[in-house]
Amino acid sequence: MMTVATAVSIGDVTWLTVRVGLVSTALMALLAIALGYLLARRSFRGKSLVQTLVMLPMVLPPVAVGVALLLLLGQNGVLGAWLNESLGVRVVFTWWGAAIAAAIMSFPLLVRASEAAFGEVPRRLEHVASSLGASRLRVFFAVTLPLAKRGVAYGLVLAFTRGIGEFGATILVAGNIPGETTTLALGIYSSFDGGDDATALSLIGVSVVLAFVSTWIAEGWLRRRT
Amino acid sequence: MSGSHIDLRVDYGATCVRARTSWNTSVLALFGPSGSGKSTILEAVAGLRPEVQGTITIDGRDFHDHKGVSSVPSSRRRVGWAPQEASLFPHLTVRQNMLFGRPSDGVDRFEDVTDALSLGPLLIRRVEGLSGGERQRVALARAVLRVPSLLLLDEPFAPLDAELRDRVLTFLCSLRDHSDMRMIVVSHDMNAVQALAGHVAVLDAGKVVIEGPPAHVFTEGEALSIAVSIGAENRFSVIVSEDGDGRSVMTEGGTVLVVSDAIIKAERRSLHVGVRAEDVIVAVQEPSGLSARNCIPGRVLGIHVDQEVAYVRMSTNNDEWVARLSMEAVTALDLAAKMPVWVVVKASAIHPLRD
Repeated sequence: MMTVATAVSIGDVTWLTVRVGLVSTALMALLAIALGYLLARRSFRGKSLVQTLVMLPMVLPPVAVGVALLLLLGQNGVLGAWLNESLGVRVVFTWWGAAIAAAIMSFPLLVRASEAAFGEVPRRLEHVASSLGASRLRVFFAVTLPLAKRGVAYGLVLAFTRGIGEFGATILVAGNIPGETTTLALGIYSSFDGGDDATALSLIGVSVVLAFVSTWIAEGWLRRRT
Repeated sequence: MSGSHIDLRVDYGATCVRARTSWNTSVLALFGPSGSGKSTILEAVAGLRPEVQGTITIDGRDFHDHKGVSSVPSSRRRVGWAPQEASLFPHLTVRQNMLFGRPSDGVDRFEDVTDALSLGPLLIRRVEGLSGGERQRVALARAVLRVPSLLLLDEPFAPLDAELRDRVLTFLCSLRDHSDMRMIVVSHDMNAVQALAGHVAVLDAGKVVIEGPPAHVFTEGEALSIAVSIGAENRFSVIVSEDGDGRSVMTEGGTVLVVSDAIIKAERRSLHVGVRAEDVIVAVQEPSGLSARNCIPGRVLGIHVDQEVAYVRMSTNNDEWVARLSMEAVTALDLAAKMPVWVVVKASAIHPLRD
């Protein structure tokens, strides 16, 4: 039986997983942090609706998100067809598809972590900075962001760990192509399903180490001084 | 010097500040009890109260017009605001805090300000370990180094010991005399206000109830009574005691207080007196060799912390006192409810109140 272990090395699967995790986090980081700031600092109509929408990927079955992404990004999908025809880019059944699926699934974590982090920055300090002549941009980059950075960094690591563990949406959008889209989660599933328990356990071990190290780093960040 | 004028209204929650005052001096002092709206006025002048209505004109510059349509943003008002709780940036060192608002084309007065406020040894420290007094001086330096046209100082002397308080007062008087900076100072320190300000506005419940030169507000009988009545957190009905050396009064709660001659000379058998919370000293052991005439045994009833200031409520006989202490003092004395203490008050800190 052809399993992940025979098709590609555990190292390749691990590297692809890390790459998917990093790219997925990078893809949505700016938008998620900006949205987190907006939700923490601004009052606007429909704010609770936005907060609810943001959380949807967390509460929906991952497979449902995967189907939605497939319908959007597939060759016949609205965005997928345009990407294919205009730019010659195919997303589904590539590792980019895995990264996009992971980005969507981990987006709420970073938004919520950023919102909490920005919300904890005393407005008084922003007011002082403003009274000292700082523009809004400088207030954000010199005061708000540095004071929120631990929480935001924590959110980034959480999003990364969520991304590398993504399964349901990823398998639909990226498939499970050894060497191309097989991440650790998909590799564990296919190895176990194929009766290759040893490989499955090895991949689980790698997953545990990755998750442990990431969480350790995130917790360390939270414990650090400002 | 152009005139300055404030006629503003700020509503927040159930509180309303409705203050109007005009002055033509370099320094305006706002005086009054906690919650009377002093800090709110400073924030409104700094442009940090978007809900403000009315006009704010400082030294001829319009910060805020009646309809708020030409409100100048906070960052462009050229103010240096030193809030009561200092609000230093915790991720920056003392030096970085001080330099935060310094304009790139500003005259470099860093060394002068550092020396004047004794901040040299603190420059490389992070702010989290600073005492209340150190934080307040850093906040003051940060505001001054902004080279503002208007300094807004909220209780700049409150957390300072006598020596540093004098140093800061001298520094501010020097700024007043040798720079173009205007100041609005919130302070409970009557002596400092008299030394620094050319105009005093006394606030009560959000309104200016008396204003004028400090010589009028703080030294003339009626005005002084009003000012102290409003500012005194400790108020007692007393009768002049027949006992002792003729300088004693007894409160309704049974506490005997030695008072100044001025109170006795009022030739009234019963009257009201007031003591500022900051004039009340707390000792955890019976003091000896003190110049203060009143040293009364009592007990702590409770401690209320407001930002970095602690209000310690105490009982002596059937009277209740409140002392305004720094958090450092509360920690150093290890004060707690029910703890036995001695309430120490100078006779000169007991002022007659209007009826």
